[in-house]
Amino acid sequence: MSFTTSTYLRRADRDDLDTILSWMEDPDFQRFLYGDAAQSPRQIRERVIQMLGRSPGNIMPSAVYLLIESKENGPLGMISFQNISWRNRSCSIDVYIGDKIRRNSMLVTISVFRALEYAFDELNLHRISALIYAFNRASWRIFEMAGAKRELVLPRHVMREGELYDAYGYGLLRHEFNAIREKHGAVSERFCLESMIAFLSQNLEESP
Amino acid sequence: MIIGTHTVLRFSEPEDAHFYRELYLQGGAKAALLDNRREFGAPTLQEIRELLKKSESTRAFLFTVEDPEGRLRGWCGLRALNIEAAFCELFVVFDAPEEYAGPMADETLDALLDRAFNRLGLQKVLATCLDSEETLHACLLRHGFQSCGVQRDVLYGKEGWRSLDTLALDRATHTSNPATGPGPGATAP
Repeated sequence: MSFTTSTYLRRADRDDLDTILSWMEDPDFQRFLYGDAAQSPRQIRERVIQMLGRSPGNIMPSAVYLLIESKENGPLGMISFQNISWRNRSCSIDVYIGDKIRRNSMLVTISVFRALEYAFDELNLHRISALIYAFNRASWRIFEMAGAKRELVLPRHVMREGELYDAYGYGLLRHEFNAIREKHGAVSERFCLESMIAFLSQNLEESP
Repeated sequence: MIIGTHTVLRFSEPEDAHFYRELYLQGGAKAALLDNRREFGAPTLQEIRELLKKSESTRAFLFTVEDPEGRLRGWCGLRALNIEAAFCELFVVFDAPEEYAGPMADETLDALLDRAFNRLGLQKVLATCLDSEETLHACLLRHGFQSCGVQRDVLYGKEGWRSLDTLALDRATHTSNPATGPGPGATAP
C-alpha cells in the first residue's frame, strides 16, 4: 500500500511493540484517543501485545492495525480499524501520528485516505465510523475531507483537564467515499507525472 | 424491589436467562441487544447467564421488569457508566412493542432515571433505538430525551440497512420537566 516512493502502510507486528508502547504512553495519545494516565506500563504492554496478537488465517479478525512507515524515518503513526463487523461490513477507525510535527501535514490526510481505500476496496466494508472529540479539529476535518458526515453530536461527553467537551460521531459510507474519490481523482488528473514532465520540458524549451 | 402501580422492578437473576433469550429470538433486532460491533446475535442460555453473573449485574444495574401478577415482561438497566463525564446508557426491552406506549414503560423509565440522576448523581443519560423501534423512540421522547443524531446503515438484516438513533437526556431537562419526574406510586421498600 505504498503512497509515495518512500512511505507506506503495513500491518503492525510484534517487532513494533516498543514503538507502539511509547506512543501509548504519550499524554497526547490519551488526550485525543483513549487510555488512562493511571495505567501501569505492564497494563499498557499487555494491551499492545493483545493488539498485535496473531489470529489464525481462517479467522476473520475483529481489528486490523496498520502502521504508517517511511523508509527514512521508520514508523510514523498507526491507523486502527476496530470492532470490525463482517456481518454489517462496518468498523470504527482511530488514527494516531507519533511525531507531533507531522500531525497537521499532508502525510496524515493521505494515510487516512489510503487506509480508507484499503477498508472499502480490500476489506469490502460498507461503513466506517469515528468518534472524535470536538477539540480535535484536525482529525475531524480530515474525515470530513474524506466525505464523512457528522451524524452525532454528543454534548459534554468527555472529560479532559477537568473540563467536559463534546464528541462527534462521524460516519462514512462506501458510496460517499467513492464520490469524493471521483471528485478528487478528476481534480488531480492534470497533476499527473506526464503533464509535469511536459510542463518542465516546455519551460526548458522556452527558457533562454 | 421497586414496586409501582403497574410494574415491579427487581435485580436480574441468572434464572431470568430463559426470558431474556426469548427477547433476543422474537420480534426482530433491538438496539438494546446489539453488541459493541452493532451485531444482533443469538446468545445461548449459558452466555446470558455468564453476562448476568458479570460485573454489571453484581453492581446492580440490570433489572427484570415484572407485572403485578409476577409475569416477566421486560429487561432494562444502566450500563457503560462513565464516572469522569458522569453519564451512562439506559436500555429497556419489553416482550411486546405496545408496552412502550403504556404505564409499564413509563414507570420503568422513571425508576431508571431516578437511579441515574438521583442515586448515582449522573449528569446525562444516553439511549439508542433502531429506526424500526418507533414505539421505543416515542417513549424516550415522552420522557424528555432528545436526539443527538442518527448513525446510518449501522445494522444489516433481512429488511436491509437499519439506522440507529442516539438520544440523550440531561439532568437539567429531567428535573425541569414534570413528565420525567419520578412515577406516581413508585416506592422502594
